[in-house]
Amino acid sequence: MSRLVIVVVVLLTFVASEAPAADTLFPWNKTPDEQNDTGFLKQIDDWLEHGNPERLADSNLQSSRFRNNLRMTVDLAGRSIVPTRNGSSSSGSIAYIGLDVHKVFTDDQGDYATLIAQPYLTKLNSVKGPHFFEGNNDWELVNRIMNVNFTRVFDERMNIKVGHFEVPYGLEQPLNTNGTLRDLASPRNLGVKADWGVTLNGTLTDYDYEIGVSRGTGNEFFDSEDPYVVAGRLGTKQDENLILGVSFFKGSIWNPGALNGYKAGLADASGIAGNILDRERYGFDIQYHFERPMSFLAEFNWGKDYERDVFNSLLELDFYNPSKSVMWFTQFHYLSEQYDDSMGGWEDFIDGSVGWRWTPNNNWALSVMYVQELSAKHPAGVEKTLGSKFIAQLRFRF
Amino acid sequence: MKRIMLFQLATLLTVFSIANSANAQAYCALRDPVRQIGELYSGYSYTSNVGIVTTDSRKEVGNRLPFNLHFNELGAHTLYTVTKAGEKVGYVHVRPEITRWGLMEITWSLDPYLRLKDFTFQRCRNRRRANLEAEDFKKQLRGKSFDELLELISLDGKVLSDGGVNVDSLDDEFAAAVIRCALKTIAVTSIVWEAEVKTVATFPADSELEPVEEVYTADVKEALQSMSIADNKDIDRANVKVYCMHNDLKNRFLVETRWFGAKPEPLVKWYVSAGTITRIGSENGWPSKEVGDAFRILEGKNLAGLIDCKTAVELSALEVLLICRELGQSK
Repeated sequence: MSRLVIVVVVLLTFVASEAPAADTLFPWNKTPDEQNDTGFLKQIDDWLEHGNPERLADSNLQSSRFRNNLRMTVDLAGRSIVPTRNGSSSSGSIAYIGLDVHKVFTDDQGDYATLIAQPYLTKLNSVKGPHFFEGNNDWELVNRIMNVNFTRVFDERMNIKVGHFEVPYGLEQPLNTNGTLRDLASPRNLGVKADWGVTLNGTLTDYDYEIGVSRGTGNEFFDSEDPYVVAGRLGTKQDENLILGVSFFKGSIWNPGALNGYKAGLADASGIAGNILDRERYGFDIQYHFERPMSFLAEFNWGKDYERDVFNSLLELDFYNPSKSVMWFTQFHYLSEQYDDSMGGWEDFIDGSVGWRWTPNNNWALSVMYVQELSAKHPAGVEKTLGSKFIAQLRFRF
Repeated sequence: MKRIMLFQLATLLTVFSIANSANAQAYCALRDPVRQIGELYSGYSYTSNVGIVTTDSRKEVGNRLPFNLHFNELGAHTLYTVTKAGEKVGYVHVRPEITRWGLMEITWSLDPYLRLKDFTFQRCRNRRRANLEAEDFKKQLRGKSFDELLELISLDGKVLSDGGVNVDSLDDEFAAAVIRCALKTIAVTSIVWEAEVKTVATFPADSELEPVEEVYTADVKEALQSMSIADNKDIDRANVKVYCMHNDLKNRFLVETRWFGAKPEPLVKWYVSAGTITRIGSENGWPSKEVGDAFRILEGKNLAGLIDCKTAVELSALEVLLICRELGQSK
């Protein structure tokens, strides 16, 4: 409770310090006309509506500096999931409410930093979520992306990003599918999508790159079992129709869920202790945009989980209408890992999906996707039943 | 702990639900065109100016152009002001254009008076893009103002007008789309970032203005005669005042004219720079909104854009530009 009081006091102090000295904070002793013009509620109303023009014009005010070059959107989304396996279906849903903030900091010499903050309150309803959720009906404040990219430490060829960012690897690094059903980062490949740390990033004459060192803990930052991730991608520039990239990933990821999934596939997991998963990947990605609105994307990954060889790949074909407000996409994931010959050699898993996204304007987006497991082989020849999943998402940004 | 987080988020949502625009794409996917800015203005620094393309802006663009912005073009966009040694040298803006080859995104470079300097494709699926990236095509667009560009395409903006731009016939529709995008860019920039553009389009705050003693010199009179407007009665010629900037290479003038075309007569201030009207204002207000709009629409015009002028306001603008041209040449 005391924290609550502190937060309220801090907020009131902030508002009071922003108010001109001549204005009374509360409008008790003012006439209705005065209240209309200068009252506290009027100030809030102005600020919420469009900011106070006179105050915004005063570049020395904190509020002016903060609102300048600020994009801020409330993002609401509901996702419904219907998985089917062995002929029986269940259903669950996820609700998201969050803020999407983008702020460019400038001074007399130009831009010097960009802040991205995306705190999302995420509520699960009968859905298994990532490891930081405590059960299938839990809620959490998820920091999707939350970082500052310092853009003037050197020049456009090298920036320094600090905070929570997408691990720079593969197709997801240049394309960024956060918050959409279409996802280019398979959790089975890396086991971590966004992480806390530092990256060097920039654009060269013909290439883009980003190299990061991060905590290896995903959504939360904590110090346990010494996880880490080092990852990077170098790609040709994004304004061509053929874009190629190479990536690397080396790390110990704190992800009990992914580790349990991994151990479930082993005949003997007694040698694996703790909650971290050792992974190494080398990737090659390609994007080709055809003359008509159609794109082909692919990502191939080689590497190891502990000492086992791994080969994972993603193929995607996209179709758009000319304005890109409607998109059809189809994906195929091929994930494989080598076991002893006595256990069946390479284990592979294939799934295919078809999805559709409709963005009628800047506020609404409706997406649906159907995922079908096409092949699932278990070590020692134990066949797994194939399941499917139907997902729909409605998103509203304002 | 979770209660505190919930309270924090609720507070954020309440206090910050000022969002005046939304973009369908999450902001983490936004990319500044830093490479394109580097190519267009190597060694220069830039400042972002985020502006909102509203439905009102869209309507205004529709008033100026026979085609309009797509609804997906609304929302927050950035105009990059490029500077060198503290002086603004131009603007960079990225604008999409819907074509049958999909969504095309072009990074435009404009000079301080919103004339086209250069462009690069940020996204273009057309395999013939190299033809329009070539200097042969670009040099036909460089330096063109809004009006000059408008003459290069058909009324509906879908094809090139005859005798305007010389391109392979296979690229006719493609080139028209590029010019259409340029026109939208200039229109949107002047509407949404009006304050930013005006700042540089008018004179520097500390500029020294020198009054010109003789306005209607023999050269000016001859120029008016040759354009058949020597008998223009809308300008109070006896009281025209002209000021030029001291030691100015850009030939910047402030011309003050009383205009007789409407009552009460407005005292019009014309800011002219490098032969282009950069700003028009009235010291005593406009007699009506229609008159004010008729003057304001002349901002960005130069002599080439007024050759076929028809209205009384345009005739007066032509006279002002001729005065500035002749006085500039005699400096």
